[in-house]
Amino acid sequence: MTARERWDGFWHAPTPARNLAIARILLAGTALWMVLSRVDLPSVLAYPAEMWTGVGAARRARFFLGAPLVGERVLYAALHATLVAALCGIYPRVSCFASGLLLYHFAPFETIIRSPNPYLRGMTIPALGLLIVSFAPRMETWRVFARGSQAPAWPLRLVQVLLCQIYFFAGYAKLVTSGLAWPTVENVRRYLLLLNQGLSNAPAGSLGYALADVPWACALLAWGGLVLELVFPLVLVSRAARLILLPLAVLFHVANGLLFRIFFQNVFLLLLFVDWERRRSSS
Amino acid sequence: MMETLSGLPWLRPALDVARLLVFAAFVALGVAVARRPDRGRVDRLVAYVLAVSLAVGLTQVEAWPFTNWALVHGLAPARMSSWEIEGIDAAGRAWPVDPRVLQPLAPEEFGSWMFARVPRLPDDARARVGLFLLERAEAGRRRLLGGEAVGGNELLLGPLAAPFHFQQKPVWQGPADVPAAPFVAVRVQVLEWDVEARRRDESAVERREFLRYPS
Repeated sequence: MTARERWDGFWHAPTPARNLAIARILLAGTALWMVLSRVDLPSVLAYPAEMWTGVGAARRARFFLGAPLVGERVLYAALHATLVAALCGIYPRVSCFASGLLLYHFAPFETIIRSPNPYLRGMTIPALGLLIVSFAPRMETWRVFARGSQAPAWPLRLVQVLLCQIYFFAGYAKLVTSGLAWPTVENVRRYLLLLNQGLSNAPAGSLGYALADVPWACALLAWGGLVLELVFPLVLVSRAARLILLPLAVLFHVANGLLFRIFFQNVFLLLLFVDWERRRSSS
Repeated sequence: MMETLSGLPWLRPALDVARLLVFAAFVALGVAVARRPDRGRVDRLVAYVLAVSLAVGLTQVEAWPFTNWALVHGLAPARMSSWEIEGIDAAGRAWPVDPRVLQPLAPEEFGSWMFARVPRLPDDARARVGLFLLERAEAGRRRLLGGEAVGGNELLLGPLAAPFHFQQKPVWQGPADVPAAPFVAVRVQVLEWDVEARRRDESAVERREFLRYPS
């Protein structure tokens, strides 16, 4: 098989339209959960001016900041409306496109006084994903309950690739920054201790503390987590890998939450890898 | 080299504009596909997203929403520092303040900003930050006593609201955690500790005052 045929087979093969409709719902639902959980995000604009001194004109322009607070609140309300429309498939192209642009505008509010890079706050993949699905042909015909309908796979594939990059580059960053000193018992033990010390009221009773004193468990967390992150992209090309790695990824996030107190807001997006047509057929 | 580059005043704004152009090009390629979804246009969009996202990931230089995804990637430090806000009542008693009062801002964002910027602020600007903290602490105290959610993030979804990335345990569990009368002052304490020493003795934490209002 030539490289061109492989490329076409991966990006341009038809996929059940049901999978794309569910992808749209997952992306919009995740984003809606995030904005409903950041009730008055625009109010950050009203924080003391001192907190905004590091945000220069170019950075404001980059994220289209500059409207007064009342205007931002109206736009934030509009984002809720466009996400509900995207979730329900109402004018899906327009609602997904508008949602993606508004998420691009609002997601940085969470971090901009410190950083213009609001990743791992739950809105990055929905922002890109909703824009990508809004570019897809005939997205108005995607239906969750319509059997047999097919659509080009590339929008779903592209979002899946971006989701895989979360894992792969998290592992890559560890190796590039810290090398093989990262997956050591000593390093993971210290992370278990310091994150619980910094984030928990009673670290001595935490699960992280309990595991920190078990060297083999620290080694398992270190190497298991790193290997999972680096091999996760296999889910793109192998059904067997999906069967193994997707449950492991869920376990990984549960462990991160319980042991390191790190929460991953995009965990439900792992459902993007499920072939819903196959599941429905087999049931 | 990074130090030299960070000393160039024009570089950061130029990079912000360049990153906006990266995003704008993505949207433009996507709109072109939406208008006429032929294979060539789709391939260009896909190739662009792959090229940008891989370049960002491999170089670890962000162009959000294309980003580097690094998380707890450094080596864990032997010493750690954190901070807490304390509200002070009229009797002079200090009460820990729940950082949820800062929502929608996450505690780590406020803390990072505070450590980087507050030491360089003039007195009047520090006072404005202190007043902001006092007003937030007092509003949170009143909400807690009134049976409302301490932080704004839980107003609509309650306990189903998405937590922040780093999950901080609530400082305020109930009305007994705050005074009945208003806070009259606020201070920020910096906490520093040796990770292993604190493992052996939870009280092995050094504290120093970082900010007080009124001073």
